[in-house]
Amino acid sequence: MKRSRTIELALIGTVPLLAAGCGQQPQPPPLSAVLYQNLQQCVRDGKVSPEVCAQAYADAVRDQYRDAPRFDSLAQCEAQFGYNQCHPVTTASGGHWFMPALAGFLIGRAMSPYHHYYGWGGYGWHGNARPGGFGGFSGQPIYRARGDRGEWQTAQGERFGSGLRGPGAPSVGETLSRGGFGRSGAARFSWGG
Amino acid sequence: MTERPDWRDQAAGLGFRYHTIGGQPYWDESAYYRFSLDEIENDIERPTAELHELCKDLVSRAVRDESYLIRLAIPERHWDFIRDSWLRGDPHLYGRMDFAYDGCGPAKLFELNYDTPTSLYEAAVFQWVWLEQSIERGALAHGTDQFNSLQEKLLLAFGALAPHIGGTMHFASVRGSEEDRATVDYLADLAFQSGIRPVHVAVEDIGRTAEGRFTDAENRLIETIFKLYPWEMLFADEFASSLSSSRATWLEPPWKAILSNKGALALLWERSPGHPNLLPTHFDASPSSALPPGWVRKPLCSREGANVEIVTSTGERVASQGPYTDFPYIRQAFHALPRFAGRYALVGSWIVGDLAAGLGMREDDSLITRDTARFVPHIIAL
Repeated sequence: MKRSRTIELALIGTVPLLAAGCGQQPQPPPLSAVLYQNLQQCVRDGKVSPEVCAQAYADAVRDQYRDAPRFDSLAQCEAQFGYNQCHPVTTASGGHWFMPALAGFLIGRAMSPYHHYYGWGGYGWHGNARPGGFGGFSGQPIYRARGDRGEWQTAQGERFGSGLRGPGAPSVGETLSRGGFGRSGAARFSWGG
Repeated sequence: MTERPDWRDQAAGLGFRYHTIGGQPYWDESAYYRFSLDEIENDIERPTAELHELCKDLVSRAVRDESYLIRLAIPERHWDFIRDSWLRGDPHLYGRMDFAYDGCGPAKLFELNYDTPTSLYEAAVFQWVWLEQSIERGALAHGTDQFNSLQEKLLLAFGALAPHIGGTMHFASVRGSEEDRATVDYLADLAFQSGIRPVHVAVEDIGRTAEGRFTDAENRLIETIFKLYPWEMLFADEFASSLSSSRATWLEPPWKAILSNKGALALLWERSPGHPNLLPTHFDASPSSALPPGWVRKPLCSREGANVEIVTSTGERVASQGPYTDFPYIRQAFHALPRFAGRYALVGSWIVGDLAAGLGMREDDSLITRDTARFVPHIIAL
């Protein structure tokens, strides 16, 4: 076969479920997601639209109370999530427990119960991508992990480093001037070939 | 061939936003090109891989021989930058060769698009989806294939890059070009799937620090950058003086400046005269004189078929306007594009890494293939 066996898009669109060659099952791609520490970081990053950021962040804020593990004591919570990463919760009905503080949110494609993969609604809603709903992308609450390696974890305890999956901390430089590229191109119509 | 009734909706869902340009169809699935496996493997894939090796041999020679760089009109102040990028082994991602091919006789290389090729997404993705769905709905036989492993090979290329990138990679295109933005967005998508964190930056927004490093609009330092903006224009811009201090890894790498220059076609012919896939090509010693019949004149640096002048074997003159008037010219032997159903067809054969990776057909009403030439899908028949 001279063509790609399967094609997935993660950010720019949704590929209908197809795999080259009849009868073959499509290979699920690795679950891709990006971690943001706050809404502003997501919006600034520009990888997905501000609406998608806002929806994912809202999902995470809402779900943290449902998803986060609950602990009877602060010490138990901090043993897993680290010093200064837990807070008490008291409900109107008299419930009282400790839970980790929301440290960010993971935004990415969600896997439906039928194992269909969908892309992001990265440039506005389209196709099957619906906010928070079945088959759409989702925002998931993220917590700090205990230890000094800058790790993060989901409510289910899935850990990952701050490296490739998270936003990391790109170095910042003091910019003295801008606009030094692009002039030559502006004089011309186009240069794609 | 009947069009898929919902292809425009599909295009919207797949992020293909420029399928119609200026009211004219750009994506055209009312027809398709049919190749045999033998034609693809022997007439397109093998010559593509072979010419790619000749191209790399040419770069290897040019960085060591100033007479090459002089003839390519590359500014001397950037020679070391180009040479270092080659000798350091800077990786490259992709390129496209444009061939005239009519199914009889060898494909003839018209141009190399080795620095800023577009039409990638429609070749890699939309064409692929078209084939799968055409088989699914019974319009094409099961087992019909396509020369198109572009996405698979691009993912391999990004996968190889990922460990060498500090997590973040910038993708730059100029403001106002939807097609260019779509191309970098597609590549950014593949980078993301490979564990790289892509960040878009407009070429015009790139900033410079006191140390001569480049930054994006958020002042983040640019470490690795894919730029859909030609090297000869970067060289002519104000910030060019900081290219060597920027410590950035560039894709396509600086050494592509040698191959995106049409003078490379003359140098390829000079080094491999009579090669069956090359057209006789020379630097034009008298660019202001009238072009004799059977020759084509092109500026060293032009894109999208701009500033090309053709005088056919029978003396018919065809010329395109354009802004690329400030470069020397080459003369290439005229070779007519084959015509199918009244349209001139050009074969775009892609290279990813160092592998021939697929093709995309373009059709134009004129002998000169412009940026609005329709993209028509192809198949490999059983």
